[in-house]
Amino acid sequence: MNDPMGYGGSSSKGDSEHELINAIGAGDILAFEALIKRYQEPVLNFVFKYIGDRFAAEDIAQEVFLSVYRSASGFEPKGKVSTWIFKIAYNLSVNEILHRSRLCLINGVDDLGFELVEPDHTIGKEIVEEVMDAVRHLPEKQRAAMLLRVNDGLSYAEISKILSISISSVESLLFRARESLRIIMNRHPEE
Amino acid sequence: MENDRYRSKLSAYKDRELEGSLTEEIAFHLRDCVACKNELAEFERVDALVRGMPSLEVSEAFASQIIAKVAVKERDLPALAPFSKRIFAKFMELADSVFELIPWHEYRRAATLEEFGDFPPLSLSYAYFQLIGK
Repeated sequence: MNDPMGYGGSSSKGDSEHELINAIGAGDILAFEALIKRYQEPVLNFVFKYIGDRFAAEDIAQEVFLSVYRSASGFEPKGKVSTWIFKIAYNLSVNEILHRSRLCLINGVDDLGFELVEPDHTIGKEIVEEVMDAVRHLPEKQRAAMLLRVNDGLSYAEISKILSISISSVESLLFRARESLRIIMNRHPEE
Repeated sequence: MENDRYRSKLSAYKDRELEGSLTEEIAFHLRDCVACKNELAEFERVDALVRGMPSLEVSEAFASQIIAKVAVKERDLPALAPFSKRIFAKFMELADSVFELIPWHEYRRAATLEEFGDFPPLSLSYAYFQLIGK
């Protein structure tokens, strides 16, 4: 499996993460800090790219870790820690989107404040904005599946657990997401 | 027809999430099918663009802010534990705020010690009113 962020990793890493969660469940703040450091960037960026609001993303990402801390003692070690954390992040992000849709706060891609890290300078700004906009306008589950697969390197099985759908649905979501984005991308064949 | 069948599987093929036999079939199909080969290349490009989306940089205070929130919650937890105590504390807060709204100064009036003159001279009440009367 493609695993660029290394969450899946070896079983020893999985075991060490389970130990970390057990320690957090027992109130070990240092273990909690270690877990935050390990997952802060992927969680923050998943939430940011999913909801498209960098201010809310930081609050939600913090809430994700607080939720991890609160429920660490009830964590079932048969699952992966990364899957569990991303499931919390996904659920909180969906709640935020529902909350915003009730308040009619859905905007385009925001362009306020915060320093952004642009990893690929060979991609033109125009197409980056268009891709961000296109990703934001994908149906919610397609967007989540796409981000979890492409940015976080999760397997279809892990994504299916996070989104509570079947593996074949993940396959279909990813195919449709890539098709939609491909059509948009083809407007910029020179990039 | 065959193209359509394989086309819908290209995304999973790219992600190496197909069963071995189907992976081999598609790999074989891709040798001759230019359309599918192009589509696969375009999916690669789509993924590269998504990965190229700007990311947020995590602030240095991120972890410490979360830990501070945990510490605050844990500090407040013992006081919050018994439900009856919480209710009583809320009631007392309310009573205090109502009490503060009463304009006591308007009710204050000069009272002479003579008004309380019916206390026996050696009683505690007499001594008390002597003191506050000064």
